[in-house]
Amino acid sequence: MGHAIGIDLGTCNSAAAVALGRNRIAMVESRYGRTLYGKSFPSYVMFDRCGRKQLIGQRAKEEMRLNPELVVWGVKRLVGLSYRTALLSGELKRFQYAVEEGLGGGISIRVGDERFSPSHILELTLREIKEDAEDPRVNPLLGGRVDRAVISIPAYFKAIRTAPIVEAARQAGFDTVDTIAEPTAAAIHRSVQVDEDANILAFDIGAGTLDVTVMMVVREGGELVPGELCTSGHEALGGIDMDDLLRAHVVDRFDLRGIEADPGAAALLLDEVEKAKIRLSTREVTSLDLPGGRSAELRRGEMEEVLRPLLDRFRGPIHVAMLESGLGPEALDHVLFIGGPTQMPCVRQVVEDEIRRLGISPALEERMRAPGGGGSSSDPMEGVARGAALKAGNIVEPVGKVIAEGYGLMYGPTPGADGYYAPIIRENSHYPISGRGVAWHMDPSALEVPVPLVAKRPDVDRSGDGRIVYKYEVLGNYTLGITPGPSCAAIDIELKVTDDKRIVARLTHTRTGQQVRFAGLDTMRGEEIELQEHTPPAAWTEEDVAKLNETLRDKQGRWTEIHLEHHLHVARQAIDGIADRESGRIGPAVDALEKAVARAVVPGRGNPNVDCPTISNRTKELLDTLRQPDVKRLSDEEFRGYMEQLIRIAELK
Amino acid sequence: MQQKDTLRLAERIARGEYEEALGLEPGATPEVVSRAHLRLLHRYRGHAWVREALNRAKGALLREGDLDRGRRLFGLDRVRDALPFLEAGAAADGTAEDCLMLGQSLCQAQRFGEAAAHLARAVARRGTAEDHAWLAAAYERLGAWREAELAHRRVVALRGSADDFAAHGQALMSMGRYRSAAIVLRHSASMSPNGIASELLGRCRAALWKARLGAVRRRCGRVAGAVRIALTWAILAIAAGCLVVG
Repeated sequence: MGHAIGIDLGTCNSAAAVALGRNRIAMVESRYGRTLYGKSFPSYVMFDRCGRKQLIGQRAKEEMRLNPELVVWGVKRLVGLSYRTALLSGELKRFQYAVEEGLGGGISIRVGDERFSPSHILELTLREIKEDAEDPRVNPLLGGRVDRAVISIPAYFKAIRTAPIVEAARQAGFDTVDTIAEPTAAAIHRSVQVDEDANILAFDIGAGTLDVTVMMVVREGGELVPGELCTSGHEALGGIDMDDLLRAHVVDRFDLRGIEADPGAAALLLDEVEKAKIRLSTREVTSLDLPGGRSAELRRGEMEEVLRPLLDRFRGPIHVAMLESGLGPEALDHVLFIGGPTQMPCVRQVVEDEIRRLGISPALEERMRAPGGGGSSSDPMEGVARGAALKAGNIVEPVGKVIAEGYGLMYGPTPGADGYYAPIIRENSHYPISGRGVAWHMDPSALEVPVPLVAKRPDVDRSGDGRIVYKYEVLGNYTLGITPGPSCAAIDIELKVTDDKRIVARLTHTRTGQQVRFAGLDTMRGEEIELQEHTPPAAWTEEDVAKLNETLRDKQGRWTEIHLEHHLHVARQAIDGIADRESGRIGPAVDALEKAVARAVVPGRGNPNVDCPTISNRTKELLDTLRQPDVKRLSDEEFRGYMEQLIRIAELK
Repeated sequence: MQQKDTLRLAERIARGEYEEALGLEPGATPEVVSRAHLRLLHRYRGHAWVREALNRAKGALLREGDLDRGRRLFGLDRVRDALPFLEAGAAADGTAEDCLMLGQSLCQAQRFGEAAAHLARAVARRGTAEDHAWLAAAYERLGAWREAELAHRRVVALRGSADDFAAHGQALMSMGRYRSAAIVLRHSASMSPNGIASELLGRCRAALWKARLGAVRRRCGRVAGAVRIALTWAILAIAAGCLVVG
C-alpha cells in the first residue's frame, strides 16, 4: 500500500504533507522549492496557444507577466458554479483567461482551441503534487507510490462544489480520496499540539474563501476526538479580493487608468500589489514598481484604510459562528489563524477585536496578547495540510461535521404577501441527518404537484449585535407526478443530508403512495427570495375537501387521458435532453427508455391503468442523477437498472 | 453487548429521551451537550444510522426552547423534570395545552393554588372538558367546593361520561349535598354499572340515611326538650299551687 497525503488545495497556492507519526509530519516539497507565500505548489497552469499544457506551479505563475491569457489560476473560485452564477457575481472579471458557458450551463475555460473544466485544471495541480511527492529526489522521506489523499475543502462549500474536486483528485491518480474542511484540518493539527480538551475558533482566510468554524476537541479513551460545532463564512471572500481592492486604489492614486488595455501590465501590477501587501505585513512602508519604470510608496496605514470595507465583512461570520455554536465566548480556549492573509496585522486585529467584543475569558485574552497572538502555534500556511495529513494517516479522525445551511419547505408566496418557510432540517445541524415535513396539494385534478424546497442560511453581512439575519434561496421546484382525484392529500417530504453532504429528497403522495426521489438538490439552486419563518397556513378542512371532491367527481374520466399525454410528453423531453448531452455514453440506455415510453403509449391510450405518474417520476429521478457532478461514475449497470425499471412500468397493464 | 447498547440508544432517541441517550441531566448547557455528543459520535463512528440519530438528538437538545423541552419531558411522563421548563415557557407564550400541562404538573407537585391559576387560563383560552376537569380537581384540593362543583358541572355538560358524572357526584357529596349527589351518581351508575359510581352511590345512600337519622334524632331531641320544659313548668306550677293552698 502506498502513502497517504494531506493536500491543502488553495485558490492560488497549495501545500501537501505526510504524517509519519502523531508528531512527525513532513511537508511535501516541490521540485522548484517554496514560494514567497510559504506554500510549495502555486495553483497556476500555463498552456500554449494551442491549448497544450506547458507549465504548472511557480513557473506558470511567473509567466503571468508575459502571457496572462494563457495562465489559468484561481479556479477554486469557479469550481462547481454555473456560468450564470459566476457571471452575475462578477467573479469572471478578474481572470484574464477566457471563461465561457459550457455543457449543461457549467463553466468552461478556453485556452487556444481547447476547452477545460475547472475540475480539469485542479486535476493538473493535484497531479503535479502527486508526482513531486512520489519523486525520491525531491521528497526522500516518501519516495514511493502515493495513492491516497485527503483534500481540504472550504467548510462553507456545498456538495456540488466539493464533488468536482474529489473527481479531479481521482483523475489525478489517487485511488482513495477523502475530504476535510480546511478549518477542521488546522484545528486537528492544533489539537494534537495542545493534546487536551479544548474549544477552538478557527478563522481561515485563504486567497479565495473565508471560513469561521468553532470546533470542540475532547479526549475519549486516550484518543483525541475533534468535532465541528458550527461553521460560517463567505464562499467568495479572500486575499484576491484584497488584491483587487488594492490594485484599484493604486490605479486611481497613481493615475494608471489605461493599464486595463494592456493585460500584461495589468497582471504585472496585480503581482506587484500582492507582493507589497505581503511585505506590509512586517513593514510599515514598502515601495511599488509601477508600469513605465515608475516607483511609488505604499504605507500600511493607507493599505488598511483601503481594505477597511472588506475587513469589516469578517465580523459577521465570527459573530454568526459564535452565536450558532451555542458556546459562550468565555468558553473559547484558542483562536486559530489560518491562511496567508491572517499574517497581516490588520486582519488579526479585526478578528481579535470582534472576539473580545463578544467577551472572552482572561486565559484566552492572555494567550492572544502573547507573542504570536491567538495562542496559535500552528503555522497559518501549513496547518491545514498538516491536519489533512493527520486524517490521511488515520492518526486523528474528526467525527462531528456540520452543514451551515438549513432546508425546508416554502409556502406561497401569494400575491401581496411573502412566502412562508417551514424548516425540515435546521441550519448548522450535524450530518448525516434527516427530517420530515408535509405539504398539501390543493388541486385534486393536478397531474403534478410542485414542492418548492428552500435553503436557509445566515446572511453574514447583515448579521451582528446579537442577532442573525437569514437569507433564503430556492433549491428548486420539485414535482411529483400523481394520479388525479378523487381527493386532495398530503405529500410527505423526507429530506436527508447524507454523509457526503448531499441533500436527498423523497416525496411521497399519501393517497396514492406514488413517490419520487431526488439525489442532489444542490444542482438546481435558483435565486434568493424573501420568506417569513412562520407557521404555514392551515391545510384544508375535511369539509372543504368533501365539497371540492363532489364538484370534481364527474370530471374524472377526462383526467386519465390528459394525464397520460402529459407524462409521456415529459418523458420524451427528458430523453431528448439526455441524448443531446450524453449521447455517446448512454446511447443504448436512451434507446431503452424510448422503447419503454413507446410501449406505454399504445396500451396507454386504450388502457387508463398504465402508471404514467410513475414513468414520469422515474424519468425525473434519471434526469436528477444525470445532473449530479459525479455522473461519470454512474455505472452502465445502474443505468440499465433504471431502464429496465422503466420498461417494467411501461409494460404494466 | 455493543449491538444491544446501540439498539437501546437508538430506541431512546426515537422515544425522545435525548438526555438519557446522551447521559445528561435535563437543562445541561450547550457545551456539555456538545461534549457528550462528540464522545458518542466517536464511540459509534462505525454506525451511520446511530450517528444520524445522535445528530438529531443533539439538534433537538440545543434548539428546543423551554416550552418544547417541557412538552417533551411531560410527554415522557417526566412531570417533575418538565415542571421548571413549562413554568419558564408557558408563563410567557404558552398555548392552552401548555397551560393545561403546567397545571397538571403543578398539581402533581402539590402546588394547587398555582395550578388552579394556570388551569383557569387554559379554561379561558380553550375550555375543553379536560381543562375544566383538572381545574375542578385543583379547586377540590384547595377546598374551594363551590368553584369545584361549578367546574364539574361544565365537564358534565361538555363531555358527560360516566366518570364525569361520578366526579361531579363526589364533589357534591363533599359539599354535603347528598340528595343531589345521589341523583348524579345514580345517572353515572346507570351509564356504567361497574364503575366507581355504584360504590360512591352506596356510600352516598349510607351518608344520606345517616344524615336522615341525625335529623330525626335532632327532631326527637327537640321534642324531648320541650316535654322536659313543660314538665318542669308543670311541677313548678303544682308546687306553687300547693304553697298558695297551704
